[in-house]
Amino acid sequence: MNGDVYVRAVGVVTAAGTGIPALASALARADWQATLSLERPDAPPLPVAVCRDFSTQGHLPPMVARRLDRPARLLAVAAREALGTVGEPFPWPRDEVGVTAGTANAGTEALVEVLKAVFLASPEEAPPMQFPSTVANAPASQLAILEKFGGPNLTFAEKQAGGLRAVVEAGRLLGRRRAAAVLACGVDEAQWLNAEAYHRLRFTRRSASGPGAILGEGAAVLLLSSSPGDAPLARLAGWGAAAVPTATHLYPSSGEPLARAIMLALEHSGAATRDVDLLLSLHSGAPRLARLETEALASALGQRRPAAMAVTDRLGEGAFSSALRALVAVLALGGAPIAWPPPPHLATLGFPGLSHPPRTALVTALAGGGSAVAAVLTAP
Amino acid sequence: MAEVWITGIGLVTALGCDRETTWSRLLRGESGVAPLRLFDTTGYRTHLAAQVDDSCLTLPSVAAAALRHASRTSRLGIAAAAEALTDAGLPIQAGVKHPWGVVFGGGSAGLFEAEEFLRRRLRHGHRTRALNEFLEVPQDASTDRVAEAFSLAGPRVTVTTACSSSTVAVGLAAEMVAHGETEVALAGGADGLCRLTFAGFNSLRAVDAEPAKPFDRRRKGLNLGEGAAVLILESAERARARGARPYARVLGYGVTADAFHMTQPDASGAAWERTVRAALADAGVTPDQVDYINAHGTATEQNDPAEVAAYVRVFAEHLARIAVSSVKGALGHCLCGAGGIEAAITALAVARAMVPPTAGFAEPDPACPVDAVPGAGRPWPIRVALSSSFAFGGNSAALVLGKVA
Repeated sequence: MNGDVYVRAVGVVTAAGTGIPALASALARADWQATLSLERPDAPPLPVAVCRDFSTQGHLPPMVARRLDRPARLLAVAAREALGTVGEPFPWPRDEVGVTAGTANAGTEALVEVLKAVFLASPEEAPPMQFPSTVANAPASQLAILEKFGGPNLTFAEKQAGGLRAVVEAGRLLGRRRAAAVLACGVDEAQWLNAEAYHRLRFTRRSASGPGAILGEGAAVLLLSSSPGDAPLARLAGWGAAAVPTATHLYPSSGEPLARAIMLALEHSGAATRDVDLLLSLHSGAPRLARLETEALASALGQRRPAAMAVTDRLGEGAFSSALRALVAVLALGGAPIAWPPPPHLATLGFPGLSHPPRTALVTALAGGGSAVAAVLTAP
Repeated sequence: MAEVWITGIGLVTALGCDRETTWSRLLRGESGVAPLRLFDTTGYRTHLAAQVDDSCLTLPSVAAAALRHASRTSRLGIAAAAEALTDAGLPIQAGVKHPWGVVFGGGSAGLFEAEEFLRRRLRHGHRTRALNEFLEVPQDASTDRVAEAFSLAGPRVTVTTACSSSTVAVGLAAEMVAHGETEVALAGGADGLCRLTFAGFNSLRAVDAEPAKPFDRRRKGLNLGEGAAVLILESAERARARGARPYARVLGYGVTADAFHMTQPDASGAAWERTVRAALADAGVTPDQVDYINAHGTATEQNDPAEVAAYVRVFAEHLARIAVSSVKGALGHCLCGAGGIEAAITALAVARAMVPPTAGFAEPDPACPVDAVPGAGRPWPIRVALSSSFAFGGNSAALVLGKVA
């Protein structure tokens, strides 16, 4: 990597609530679980971890909030939390602050609304105000417009790996000096059509307590810069990515691309497997994903058994969730008390829970279609 | 950091199913804009679009399994990738995984097919059949499809920044090759026509009911288009070693946001100016070295003067001797595929010392004081060229390509 990349601040909205304190409070309770339910217009609800009490009140002026769609609101509120902690004067010229975002479904609700008008009314009824929100880069762009950030504004689509992709691409932008600071984000909205598709593909749980993944919504923001500032939260030490040809809606048949991504990330960061003392598992509840992770870790970490924890099986799967794992790693590196245990498939293999603040965390993501991303974060 | 060459180009556009047909018709000043046949346009402001002929989507050289349930957009991407790989002399061996990356701009992906599913779903409820029509909705689906079709196991990235997506993708891919993250990258993008974008741009009143006229004082808006481009990027060292013929070098790229408005550019062109300056700085070239600009040139009232205002400030007196053309009058605005298509056209222009014309341009607009290359293509030696894109959300990107010495 060209130069150091530091995590300067974080902000979040999840089903656990708005803000880092709400997330930290949930992480400290071993028994915390999200309420799972997403309404559909004409069918039973689906088990999705929705940001049920989310409101922009106190975070965004009402006139501003009204202009934004839900993903942009989630992102703007999370970003404001991160930006609020860097202090005044703002440390970077706004034209040099970039945004990278990963999303799996931003724009879907607007898309459905526009097409509903076209199909059920007439083409003339297509709502011009909603059309711009159908593009996946709308939340990141809205954020830049709101905060007047003129740096690179890039959105990445890599399904479940999109959020972590945004984090590592922020690192690349900083390394190439294309920006002085970057808000690296993951954002998704709970959207009934998207949830229904996953449900029908049998990827998600058939009931709130059954096996399978749950989808979620939220926004996770990591503010990265190449300068450490007074109190950096963590350092993005390195990353790796790999892929294997796979049907776009399926996970790969083996954990090989994930193992390759992990090994590249370790090499890139200069860390050895023995240095890793926290693994943010990508476990979402999907049994197939657990098998692939087990296979990849056996190949990449050998006998090494760092502390492990999962958040995606409680807060929901999506592109935002891989950025959220990076954010939780940052909290853990900072010593936040975390009571969430390792996922069952890793506990069985002897991966312990987190008992003391780690120094080096490994965060991974694997997407349908066979793309994998891994990142190494270290205590500053 | 390695020098990066473009050693293969695949193009599928409304002007042709391949690179050479597209290029030759483009140079003759022909336009692919015609009445849209893909779906019923009753009730829309315009009935025109630059639609790719369906014959381009039957791909006898690609294994049938790789095309099963593939969306229109994915087929466009696969066709362009097949041509690019052949052009570069990189044969795909059956059963062999190739460690090459795919960096694409992603947009509508399988939305055209998904719209049919959604139409039925809205009317008939949650048991609607044929979910397979919905599987390529994710913007990275076509990237996955291309990787699957050619067994590509290198890093895979999908940029989705609307109309600048595949411009960024080419720049990012070049950076990955330059830094050794992948030895070869397939870069570019594909975007297919669909009802959503057609309805959306109609509702924004951004379309012209007649063929678009970029930079022309009579311009009233854009025509939508579809297509795909794939550029094969590899290090000069690798290309030389295998005797590959380069079209052009990727010298650098720039990307910024204007933080102004979701659909309208800042009329001053200030952010665009920053993008171009960043791209030139990244490439290590000065404004006087640029001989050609492949402009974004959508033919909307707001876009063209804002874009030209940026060029006036960056290139100053040099702009008078720079050819500036937009291919959107001929190929339509291919949205997330546009930047890749225009990068491919720009690379051809550099390699062949010919600039394509701006189809539809005839009457200059004082607000757009550029040599917009009316009529037909013209011989034009090019040392350095710029390919520029602007997108919803105020995201702009510019690529700098250079002649290989």
